[in-house]
Amino acid sequence: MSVAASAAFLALASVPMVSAQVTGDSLVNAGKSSDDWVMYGRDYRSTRFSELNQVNDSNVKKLVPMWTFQTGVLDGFECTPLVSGGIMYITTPWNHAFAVDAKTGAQLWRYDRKLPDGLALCCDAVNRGFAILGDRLYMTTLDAYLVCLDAKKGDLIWEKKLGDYQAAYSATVAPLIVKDKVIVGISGAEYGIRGYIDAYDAKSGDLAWRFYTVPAKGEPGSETWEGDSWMNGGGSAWVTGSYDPELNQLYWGIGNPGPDFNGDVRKGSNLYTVCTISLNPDTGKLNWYYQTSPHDIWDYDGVNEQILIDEEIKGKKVKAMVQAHRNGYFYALDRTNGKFLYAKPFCKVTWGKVNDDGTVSVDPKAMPTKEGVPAFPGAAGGKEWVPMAYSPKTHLAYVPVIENGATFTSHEIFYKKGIAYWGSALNLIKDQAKGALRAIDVRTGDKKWDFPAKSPMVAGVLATAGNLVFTGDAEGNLIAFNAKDGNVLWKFQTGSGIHAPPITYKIGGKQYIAIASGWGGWTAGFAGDGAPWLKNSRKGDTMYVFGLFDETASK
Amino acid sequence: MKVFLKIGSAVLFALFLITATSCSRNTTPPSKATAAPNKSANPFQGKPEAIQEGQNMYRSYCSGCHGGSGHGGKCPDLTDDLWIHGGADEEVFLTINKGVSGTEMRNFEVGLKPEEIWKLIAYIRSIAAAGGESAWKPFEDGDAAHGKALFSDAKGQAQCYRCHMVLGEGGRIGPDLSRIGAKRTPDYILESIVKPSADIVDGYLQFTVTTKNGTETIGYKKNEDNFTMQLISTEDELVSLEKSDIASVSTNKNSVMVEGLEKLLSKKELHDIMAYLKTLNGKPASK
Repeated sequence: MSVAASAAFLALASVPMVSAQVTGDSLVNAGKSSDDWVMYGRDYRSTRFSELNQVNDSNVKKLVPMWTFQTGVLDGFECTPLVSGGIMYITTPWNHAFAVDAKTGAQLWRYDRKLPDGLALCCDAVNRGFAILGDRLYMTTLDAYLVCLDAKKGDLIWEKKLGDYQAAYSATVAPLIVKDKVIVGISGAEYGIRGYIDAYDAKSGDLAWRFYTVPAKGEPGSETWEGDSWMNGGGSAWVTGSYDPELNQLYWGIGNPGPDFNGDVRKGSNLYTVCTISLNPDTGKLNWYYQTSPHDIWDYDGVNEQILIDEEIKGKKVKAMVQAHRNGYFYALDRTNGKFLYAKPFCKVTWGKVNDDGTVSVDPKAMPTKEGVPAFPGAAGGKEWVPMAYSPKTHLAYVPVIENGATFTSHEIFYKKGIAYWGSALNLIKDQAKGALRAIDVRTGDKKWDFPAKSPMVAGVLATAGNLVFTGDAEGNLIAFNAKDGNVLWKFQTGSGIHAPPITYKIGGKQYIAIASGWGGWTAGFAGDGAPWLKNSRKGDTMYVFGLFDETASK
Repeated sequence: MKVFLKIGSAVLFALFLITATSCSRNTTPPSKATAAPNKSANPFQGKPEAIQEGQNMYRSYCSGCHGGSGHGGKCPDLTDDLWIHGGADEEVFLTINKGVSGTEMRNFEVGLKPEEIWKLIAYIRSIAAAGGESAWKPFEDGDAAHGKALFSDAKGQAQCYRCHMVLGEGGRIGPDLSRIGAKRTPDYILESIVKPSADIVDGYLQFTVTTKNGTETIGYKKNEDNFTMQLISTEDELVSLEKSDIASVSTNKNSVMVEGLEKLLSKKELHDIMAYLKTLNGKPASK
């Protein structure tokens, strides 16, 4: 070997390798003792639980920043970064993206999307992250495209139009890879769109199937929509679903009907809005649905993530799924068939109640009027989209909770292409907002411990085998808790409010914790007048990565 | 006291009439020399039916970002005097019609007719912070220069400056009054002087915080997060506390401002102070 060649070899050896490719199998096994983080919810069960335990309840106090990465994009930073083969993949607001050496923070490439003016965005210019398969990355965009990038170079391989942004279709969801397909859901139900979930061929980008979340006239379920109201019926699918490879069922939560607050123009139960649905991922055919809030009029999207659990519920081991719903109830369903197991409120609820059989009784006094009526929770829900975590070791789900109500109004509205179709508004009850990280036993729905917070808790959660739970707060602290009892073990001020989920990964025998810090999102919905102290909160754009302090490593 | 209370209720009634019938505010900024004062480019300005239509549109199209009450959320507060893209009617119209590139503010021309945008603006003007005219005029007889002297007199009865700052001078225990004349009606200012606890401005609610070692601090919260709390104490000190050191926190319903200033000052003196406060618009006094 010549000198030049060996120098080149050495240079290559020090560069992180992308060769450890993410395959269909590695996605199926993502939850099992993987050092990487290769999908949005960590695994197909969306547990956000990692077996890594080098950082644990006995040494977490020694957690210090290893590197930070400022993207320069100041808006709601909602990304779950992916880590594969030593590289971290980050998406930012306004659809910029970066690949970064996950050990050092050095930038490898960046991707910038030129977005058109005139986007219709209800809730900040956000993006929740990539999906990865092989050496390709997939991201949805605010102008309603699915883009496929080369993971090695950041170059665009192809892009596919999901919808017409001029008719207010947009996309923010982190895609989910199932076998050879890329699954995405559309956004825009605040603007009178008709929602859908799409599957695209991961190689060619060809549309494999589309499932409309609002059935057309004559299709099953269309009898739940009055007249032509289905045409603008909403039903966004803006949060990444879960998948059970054994049952071959894809689970997805469906958002609010449109218009949000005026149900008079869409009489009926409005399927499949505010539903949990199960699809066959190969065909897009509906297996079953479960509607949590029929004919919703409080914008209680049913989109929140579904964590798949195998636990004993009511004396029987079941293949279940749990969801902390925006309507304030913690639900458990049988994921084989969608049968109701239990639902318990996890925050203050006044819109009505979920009965023991899963049916819903609405309090007529809580229904939006022209003058406005208060109801709990507010429209951002008892929990926003920010994902909870579940630890099979403690049997607990760790739920970031918003405690606040809103005054809901309603008025007549006519659909106009491209502009908001709310049918009125909500106004958070002044100065009353607060939050909590709440640990809930998934077997019963009962609260185990609680960390009360000054402001709504709107960051995602990570649980680890080190008996740790991580989440962020609105004031910018990343906090580590004892997973069993909720004691605060460590905290770090990141400089901007946290509205993203933490992740963990391991490279070269060292465990890292990463969090995106950057305040934003639908702050009018979860902070606003309810938490006026968060008004004008400073923005941020920084990925923080932490590891245990190692005296021997300082050179 | 009784005299003032009587005046107060009459004033409140008058104020009610004003808000119910007209919503004139400083709709034309002082910088727009070409626009006639108090003349709006908006054909629907102050028209109740238009304002009602505007409210419906506001709720559906604007509240998601600017908040249900217009106090902002992710996007700017529409009830204060700060207009990033211009506060004149024509400028607000342009912002709504064409949108703001690079932000979430889209071009509403795609769905709204010009007259609808004007109605929307009429509503936005109606929810803007209190200001405007009041039927209560005695302050106009007051001597603003004398009022200023009373405000700043270290040996006087009022000593307002000890707690209130005006254009960089004064204390920080109470709200900064540099723009109080532009922001608040005379009725409100009067009420704040004679009944300081009637409406405590956001952020100035007083707390008594006792630490585990027995130290007591009274003051308003400057900042708080899940682990710390910062107060401006009645001693004008910035006090930073770790929550783990705090034994108790209680809220005080009453303002720290002394009650009964109307007994310490003559009616004339009160009118003078009012006249001075009404001149405060955030700008140095013109020579």
